[in-house]
Amino acid sequence: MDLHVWSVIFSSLCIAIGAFGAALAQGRSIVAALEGIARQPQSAGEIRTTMIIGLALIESLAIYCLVISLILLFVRW
Amino acid sequence: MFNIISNVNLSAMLASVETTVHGAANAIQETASVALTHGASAASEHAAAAEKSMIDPSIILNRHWIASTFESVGGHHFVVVIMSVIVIIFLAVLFYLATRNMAVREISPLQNFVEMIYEALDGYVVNMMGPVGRNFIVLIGSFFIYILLSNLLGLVPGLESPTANLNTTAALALVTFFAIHYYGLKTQGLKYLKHFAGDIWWLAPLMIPIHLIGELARPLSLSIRLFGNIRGEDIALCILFFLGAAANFPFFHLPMMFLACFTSLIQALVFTMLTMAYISGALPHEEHDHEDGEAHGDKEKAHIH
Repeated sequence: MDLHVWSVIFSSLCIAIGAFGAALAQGRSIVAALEGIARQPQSAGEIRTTMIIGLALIESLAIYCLVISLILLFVRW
Repeated sequence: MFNIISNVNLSAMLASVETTVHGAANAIQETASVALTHGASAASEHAAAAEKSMIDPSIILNRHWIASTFESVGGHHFVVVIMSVIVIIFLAVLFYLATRNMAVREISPLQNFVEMIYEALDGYVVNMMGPVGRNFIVLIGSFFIYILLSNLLGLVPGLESPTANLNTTAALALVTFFAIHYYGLKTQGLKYLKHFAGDIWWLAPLMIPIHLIGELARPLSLSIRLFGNIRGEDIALCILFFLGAAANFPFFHLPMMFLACFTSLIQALVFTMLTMAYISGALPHEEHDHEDGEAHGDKEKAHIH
Protein backbone atom coordinates (compact mmCIF):
# COMPACT_ATOMS: atom_id res chain seq x y z
CA MET A 1 0.00 0.00 0.00
CA ASP A 2 0.90 3.61 -0.29
CA LEU A 3 2.94 5.08 2.55
CA HIS A 4 0.37 7.81 2.99
CA VAL A 5 -2.34 5.25 3.66
CA TRP A 6 -0.15 3.53 6.23
CA SER A 7 0.52 6.84 7.96
CA VAL A 8 -3.22 7.59 8.14
CA ILE A 9 -3.97 4.14 9.58
CA PHE A 10 -1.23 4.31 12.17
CA SER A 11 -1.96 7.90 13.16
CA SER A 12 -5.53 6.92 13.95
CA LEU A 13 -4.29 3.86 15.84
CA CYS A 14 -1.82 6.04 17.75
CA ILE A 15 -4.41 8.51 18.99
CA ALA A 16 -6.91 5.74 19.69
CA ILE A 17 -4.57 3.68 21.86
CA GLY A 18 -3.16 6.77 23.54
CA ALA A 19 -6.62 8.10 24.37
CA PHE A 20 -7.63 4.66 25.63
CA GLY A 21 -4.79 4.43 28.10
CA ALA A 22 -5.13 8.00 29.24
CA ALA A 23 -8.88 7.62 29.72
CA LEU A 24 -8.40 4.52 31.87
CA ALA A 25 -5.77 6.22 33.99
CA GLN A 26 -7.78 9.40 34.40
CA GLY A 27 -10.85 7.41 35.36
CA ARG A 28 -8.93 5.57 38.05
CA SER A 29 -7.43 8.74 39.47
CA ILE A 30 -10.78 10.53 39.52
CA VAL A 31 -12.38 7.56 41.26
CA ALA A 32 -9.69 7.60 43.92
CA ALA A 33 -9.99 11.35 44.38
CA LEU A 34 -13.77 11.19 44.67
CA GLU A 35 -13.52 8.43 47.26
CA GLY A 36 -11.08 10.53 49.21
CA ILE A 37 -13.36 13.57 49.03
CA ALA A 38 -16.36 11.50 50.08
CA ARG A 39 -14.48 10.22 53.11
CA GLN A 40 -12.97 13.54 54.08
CA PRO A 41 -14.95 16.42 52.63
CA GLN A 42 -12.87 18.98 54.53
CA SER A 43 -9.77 18.15 52.48
CA ALA A 44 -11.59 18.51 49.18
CA GLY A 45 -9.52 21.51 48.05
CA GLU A 46 -6.13 19.84 48.44
CA ILE A 47 -7.33 16.63 46.84
CA ARG A 48 -8.78 18.56 43.93
CA THR A 49 -5.59 20.49 43.19
CA THR A 50 -3.45 17.38 43.44
CA MET A 51 -5.89 15.51 41.24
CA ILE A 52 -5.81 18.22 38.60
CA ILE A 53 -2.01 18.15 38.52
CA GLY A 54 -2.07 14.39 38.17
CA LEU A 55 -4.70 14.58 35.47
CA ALA A 56 -2.58 17.09 33.59
CA LEU A 57 0.42 14.81 33.76
CA ILE A 58 -1.63 11.86 32.53
CA GLU A 59 -3.26 13.92 29.84
CA SER A 60 0.08 15.05 28.49
CA LEU A 61 0.67 11.46 27.37
CA ALA A 62 -2.49 11.58 25.29
CA ILE A 63 -1.38 14.94 23.96
CA TYR A 64 1.96 13.45 22.91
CA CYS A 65 0.01 10.82 21.02
CA LEU A 66 -2.04 13.58 19.41
CA VAL A 67 1.11 15.44 18.35
CA ILE A 68 2.67 12.28 16.95
CA SER A 69 -0.47 11.41 15.05
CA LEU A 70 -0.64 14.96 13.67
CA ILE A 71 2.95 14.63 12.51
CA LEU A 72 2.12 11.27 10.96
CA LEU A 73 -0.89 12.75 9.23
CA PHE A 74 0.44 16.01 7.93
CA VAL A 75 4.05 15.34 7.06
CA ARG A 76 4.32 14.59 3.38
CA TRP A 77 5.94 11.18 3.50
CA MET B 1 10.79 11.75 7.52
CA PHE B 2 14.45 12.53 6.95
CA ASN B 3 13.57 16.16 7.14
CA ILE B 4 12.42 15.81 10.75
CA ILE B 5 15.37 13.68 11.75
CA SER B 6 17.90 16.03 10.24
CA ASN B 7 16.18 19.01 11.84
CA VAL B 8 16.17 17.44 15.28
CA ASN B 9 19.77 16.28 14.92
CA LEU B 10 20.88 19.70 13.79
CA SER B 11 19.16 21.42 16.64
CA ALA B 12 20.54 18.91 19.12
CA MET B 13 24.05 19.44 17.86
CA LEU B 14 23.98 23.20 18.08
CA ALA B 15 26.67 24.26 20.48
CA SER B 16 25.63 27.28 22.50
CA VAL B 17 22.68 27.19 24.82
CA GLU B 18 20.94 30.12 23.24
CA THR B 19 21.09 28.77 19.75
CA THR B 20 20.12 25.34 20.98
CA VAL B 21 17.06 26.68 22.67
CA HIS B 22 16.14 28.88 19.78
CA GLY B 23 17.00 26.25 17.21
CA ALA B 24 15.12 23.49 18.97
CA ALA B 25 12.00 25.55 19.33
CA ASN B 26 12.32 26.70 15.75
CA ALA B 27 13.04 23.22 14.43
CA ILE B 28 10.04 21.73 16.19
CA GLN B 29 7.89 24.61 15.13
CA GLU B 30 9.12 24.44 11.59
CA THR B 31 8.53 20.74 11.35
CA ALA B 32 5.08 21.20 12.80
CA SER B 33 4.15 24.13 10.60
CA VAL B 34 5.85 22.71 7.55
CA ALA B 35 4.04 19.50 8.32
CA LEU B 36 0.76 21.35 8.56
CA THR B 37 1.23 23.36 5.40
CA HIS B 38 2.65 20.44 3.49
CA GLY B 39 -0.13 18.29 4.75
CA ALA B 40 -2.63 20.88 3.67
CA SER B 41 -1.17 21.08 0.21
CA ALA B 42 -0.92 17.31 0.04
CA ALA B 43 -4.50 17.07 1.18
CA SER B 44 -5.59 19.57 -1.45
CA GLU B 45 -3.74 17.58 -4.07
CA HIS B 46 -5.48 14.48 -2.90
CA ALA B 47 -8.79 16.29 -3.02
CA ALA B 48 -8.05 17.56 -6.51
CA ALA B 49 -7.09 14.08 -7.56
CA ALA B 50 -10.16 12.51 -6.07
CA GLU B 51 -12.56 15.36 -6.88
CA LYS B 52 -15.04 13.84 -4.52
CA SER B 53 -14.89 15.87 -1.32
CA MET B 54 -17.33 18.72 -1.01
CA ILE B 55 -14.97 21.07 0.77
CA ASP B 56 -11.33 21.53 0.08
CA PRO B 57 -9.67 20.19 3.26
CA SER B 58 -6.83 22.61 2.84
CA ILE B 59 -9.13 25.38 4.02
CA ILE B 60 -9.22 23.81 7.44
CA LEU B 61 -5.51 23.69 7.98
CA ASN B 62 -4.47 26.43 5.68
CA ARG B 63 -2.75 29.44 7.04
CA HIS B 64 -4.64 32.40 8.20
CA TRP B 65 -5.69 35.32 6.02
CA ILE B 66 -3.69 37.68 8.20
CA ALA B 67 -0.73 35.40 7.70
CA SER B 68 -1.13 35.61 3.97
CA THR B 69 -1.28 39.37 4.27
CA PHE B 70 2.02 39.44 6.11
CA GLU B 71 3.58 36.64 4.11
CA SER B 72 5.92 39.08 2.43
CA VAL B 73 6.96 40.64 5.73
CA GLY B 74 7.82 37.78 7.99
CA GLY B 75 6.44 34.61 6.60
CA HIS B 76 3.85 32.57 8.40
CA HIS B 77 5.55 32.76 11.79
CA PHE B 78 4.60 36.38 11.99
CA VAL B 79 0.92 35.88 12.74
CA VAL B 80 1.65 34.47 16.19
CA VAL B 81 3.53 37.61 17.08
CA ILE B 82 0.62 39.76 15.97
CA MET B 83 -1.86 37.75 18.01
CA SER B 84 0.45 37.81 21.01
CA VAL B 85 0.85 41.56 20.69
CA ILE B 86 -2.94 41.93 20.53
CA VAL B 87 -3.24 40.12 23.85
CA ILE B 88 -0.40 42.08 25.40
CA ILE B 89 -1.76 45.44 24.29
CA PHE B 90 -5.24 44.57 25.51
CA LEU B 91 -3.92 43.54 28.93
CA ALA B 92 -1.63 46.56 29.18
CA VAL B 93 -4.39 49.01 28.32
CA LEU B 94 -6.85 47.28 30.66
CA PHE B 95 -4.54 47.32 33.63
CA TYR B 96 -3.26 50.82 32.88
CA LEU B 97 -6.81 52.17 32.79
CA ALA B 98 -7.71 50.24 35.92
CA THR B 99 -4.76 51.42 37.98
CA ARG B 100 -4.52 54.98 36.67
CA ASN B 101 -6.74 56.63 39.25
CA MET B 102 -6.69 54.22 42.13
CA ALA B 103 -8.98 55.17 44.96
CA VAL B 104 -9.84 53.77 48.34
CA ARG B 105 -13.31 55.21 48.76
CA GLU B 106 -15.08 55.61 45.44
CA ILE B 107 -13.79 52.68 43.50
CA SER B 108 -14.35 52.73 39.79
CA PRO B 109 -15.95 49.58 38.32
CA LEU B 110 -12.83 48.77 36.38
CA GLN B 111 -10.64 48.95 39.46
CA ASN B 112 -13.14 46.81 41.27
CA PHE B 113 -12.97 44.22 38.50
CA VAL B 114 -9.18 44.13 38.48
CA GLU B 115 -9.09 43.90 42.25
CA MET B 116 -11.44 40.97 42.04
CA ILE B 117 -9.05 39.25 39.61
CA TYR B 118 -6.11 39.98 41.87
CA GLU B 119 -7.85 38.69 44.96
CA ALA B 120 -8.86 35.51 43.18
CA LEU B 121 -5.28 34.98 41.99
CA ASP B 122 -3.95 35.74 45.45
CA GLY B 123 -6.24 33.18 47.02
CA TYR B 124 -5.29 30.64 44.35
CA VAL B 125 -1.55 31.09 44.79
CA VAL B 126 -1.66 31.18 48.59
CA ASN B 127 -3.88 28.11 48.65
CA MET B 128 -1.37 26.26 46.52
CA MET B 129 2.00 27.46 47.82
CA GLY B 130 1.24 28.87 51.24
CA PRO B 131 2.06 32.43 52.31
CA VAL B 132 5.40 32.19 50.49
CA GLY B 133 3.42 32.26 47.25
CA ARG B 134 2.78 36.00 47.62
CA ASN B 135 6.31 36.56 46.30
CA PHE B 136 5.46 34.76 43.09
CA ILE B 137 2.04 36.17 42.43
CA VAL B 138 3.38 38.51 39.75
CA LEU B 139 4.88 35.64 37.77
CA ILE B 140 2.03 33.21 38.29
CA GLY B 141 -0.72 35.78 37.78
CA SER B 142 0.84 37.04 34.58
CA PHE B 143 1.11 33.50 33.30
CA PHE B 144 -2.49 32.78 34.18
CA ILE B 145 -4.01 35.91 32.67
CA TYR B 146 -1.89 35.79 29.55
CA ILE B 147 -2.48 32.09 28.87
CA LEU B 148 -6.19 32.31 29.56
CA LEU B 149 -6.63 35.27 27.25
CA SER B 150 -4.47 33.72 24.53
CA ASN B 151 -6.44 30.50 24.69
CA LEU B 152 -9.72 32.34 24.47
CA LEU B 153 -8.48 34.50 21.60
CA GLY B 154 -8.55 31.49 19.31
CA LEU B 155 -12.31 31.20 19.72
CA VAL B 156 -12.91 34.60 18.15
CA PRO B 157 -13.42 34.23 14.41
CA GLY B 158 -10.58 35.76 12.46
CA LEU B 159 -8.09 35.49 15.27
CA GLU B 160 -5.75 32.73 16.29
CA SER B 161 -4.48 31.56 19.66
CA PRO B 162 -0.87 32.52 20.27
CA THR B 163 -0.64 29.43 22.46
CA ALA B 164 -1.61 27.19 19.53
CA ASN B 165 1.97 27.64 18.42
CA LEU B 166 4.95 25.89 19.92
CA ASN B 167 7.07 29.04 19.91
CA THR B 168 4.86 30.85 22.40
CA THR B 169 4.42 27.90 24.72
CA ALA B 170 8.12 27.05 24.58
CA ALA B 171 8.93 30.63 25.56
CA LEU B 172 6.53 30.44 28.50
CA ALA B 173 7.91 27.08 29.59
CA LEU B 174 11.48 28.37 29.37
CA VAL B 175 10.56 31.24 31.68
CA THR B 176 9.22 28.66 34.11
CA PHE B 177 12.32 26.52 33.73
CA PHE B 178 14.72 29.34 34.52
CA ALA B 179 12.49 30.66 37.30
CA ILE B 180 12.58 27.28 39.06
CA HIS B 181 16.35 27.12 39.13
CA TYR B 182 16.76 30.82 39.84
CA TYR B 183 14.57 30.68 42.91
CA GLY B 184 16.09 27.36 43.95
CA LEU B 185 19.62 28.74 43.80
CA LYS B 186 18.59 32.03 45.35
CA THR B 187 16.90 30.54 48.37
CA GLN B 188 19.04 27.48 48.97
CA GLY B 189 22.38 28.43 47.49
CA LEU B 190 24.60 25.56 46.50
CA LYS B 191 22.56 23.19 48.63
CA TYR B 192 20.06 23.26 45.81
CA LEU B 193 22.56 21.54 43.53
CA LYS B 194 23.14 18.90 46.16
CA HIS B 195 19.62 17.59 45.91
CA PHE B 196 20.31 16.49 42.35
CA ALA B 197 22.63 13.87 43.78
CA GLY B 198 19.85 12.24 45.75
CA ASP B 199 19.93 11.05 49.34
CA ILE B 200 22.35 8.14 49.06
CA TRP B 201 25.81 9.26 48.00
CA TRP B 202 26.87 6.12 46.13
CA LEU B 203 23.77 6.29 43.95
CA ALA B 204 24.73 9.78 42.79
CA PRO B 205 26.08 8.69 39.37
CA LEU B 206 22.70 7.14 38.71
CA MET B 207 20.55 9.84 40.26
CA ILE B 208 22.18 12.90 38.69
CA PRO B 209 21.33 11.97 35.08
CA ILE B 210 17.82 10.95 36.14
CA HIS B 211 17.26 14.26 37.88
CA LEU B 212 18.74 16.21 34.99
CA ILE B 213 16.49 14.44 32.50
CA GLY B 214 13.54 15.04 34.77
CA GLU B 215 14.36 18.74 34.96
CA LEU B 216 14.73 18.99 31.19
CA ALA B 217 11.47 17.12 30.64
CA ARG B 218 9.53 19.74 32.57
CA PRO B 219 9.62 22.58 30.03
CA LEU B 220 9.12 20.04 27.25
CA SER B 221 5.98 18.61 28.78
CA LEU B 222 4.69 22.03 29.84
CA SER B 223 5.06 23.51 26.38
CA ILE B 224 3.85 20.49 24.42
CA ARG B 225 0.85 20.02 26.70
CA LEU B 226 -0.37 23.57 26.21
CA PHE B 227 0.42 23.59 22.49
CA GLY B 228 -1.19 20.22 21.83
CA ASN B 229 -4.31 21.00 23.79
CA ILE B 230 -4.98 24.34 22.19
CA ARG B 231 -3.97 23.27 18.70
CA GLY B 232 -6.04 20.10 18.93
CA GLU B 233 -8.99 22.07 20.20
CA ASP B 234 -8.70 24.55 17.34
CA ILE B 235 -8.43 21.79 14.76
CA ALA B 236 -11.44 20.01 16.24
CA LEU B 237 -13.39 23.28 16.14
CA CYS B 238 -12.40 23.83 12.51
CA ILE B 239 -13.34 20.31 11.50
CA LEU B 240 -16.70 20.50 13.25
CA PHE B 241 -17.37 23.91 11.74
CA PHE B 242 -16.71 22.73 8.22
CA LEU B 243 -18.63 19.54 8.87
CA GLY B 244 -21.62 21.65 9.87
CA ALA B 245 -21.16 23.84 6.82
CA ALA B 246 -21.00 20.78 4.58
CA ALA B 247 -24.15 19.32 6.10
CA ASN B 248 -26.01 22.64 5.97
CA PHE B 249 -26.30 22.53 9.72
CA PRO B 250 -25.04 25.81 11.17
CA PHE B 251 -23.70 26.07 14.72
CA PHE B 252 -22.74 22.43 14.65
CA HIS B 253 -19.55 23.41 16.45
CA LEU B 254 -21.32 25.23 19.27
CA PRO B 255 -20.98 22.43 21.89
CA MET B 256 -17.30 22.19 21.05
CA MET B 257 -17.11 25.95 21.56
CA PHE B 258 -18.30 25.59 25.16
CA LEU B 259 -15.90 22.74 25.70
CA ALA B 260 -13.14 24.91 24.27
CA CYS B 261 -13.94 27.69 26.73
CA PHE B 262 -13.70 25.14 29.52
CA THR B 263 -10.42 23.61 28.35
CA SER B 264 -8.93 27.07 27.88
CA LEU B 265 -9.51 27.78 31.55
CA ILE B 266 -8.33 24.31 32.57
CA GLN B 267 -5.12 24.58 30.59
CA ALA B 268 -4.32 27.98 32.08
CA LEU B 269 -4.99 26.50 35.53
CA VAL B 270 -2.83 23.47 34.81
CA PHE B 271 0.10 25.48 33.51
CA THR B 272 0.16 27.82 36.51
CA MET B 273 -0.49 24.99 38.94
CA LEU B 274 2.43 22.97 37.62
CA THR B 275 4.61 26.08 37.67
CA MET B 276 3.73 26.62 41.31
CA ALA B 277 4.33 22.97 42.15
CA TYR B 278 7.76 23.07 40.51
CA ILE B 279 8.75 26.34 42.16
CA SER B 280 7.59 25.25 45.58
CA GLY B 281 9.53 22.03 45.03
CA ALA B 282 12.66 24.09 44.49
CA LEU B 283 12.10 26.23 47.57
CA PRO B 284 13.76 25.05 50.77
CA HIS B 285 10.80 24.70 53.11
CA GLU B 286 9.53 21.38 51.79
CA GLU B 287 12.60 19.28 52.46
CA HIS B 288 13.38 21.16 55.65
CA ASP B 289 9.88 20.49 56.87
CA HIS B 290 10.48 16.83 56.23
CA GLU B 291 13.83 16.77 57.97
CA ASP B 292 12.56 18.97 60.78
CA GLY B 293 9.58 16.71 61.17
CA GLU B 294 11.86 13.73 61.56
CA ALA B 295 14.07 15.63 63.94
CA HIS B 296 11.06 16.75 65.96
CA GLY B 297 9.79 13.21 65.94
CA ASP B 298 13.11 12.01 67.35
CA LYS B 299 13.04 14.72 69.95
CA GLU B 300 9.51 13.87 70.89
CA LYS B 301 10.48 10.22 71.17
CA ALA B 302 13.38 11.28 73.36
CA HIS B 303 11.03 13.31 75.49
CA ILE B 304 8.64 10.45 75.78
CA HIS B 305 11.40 8.12 76.78
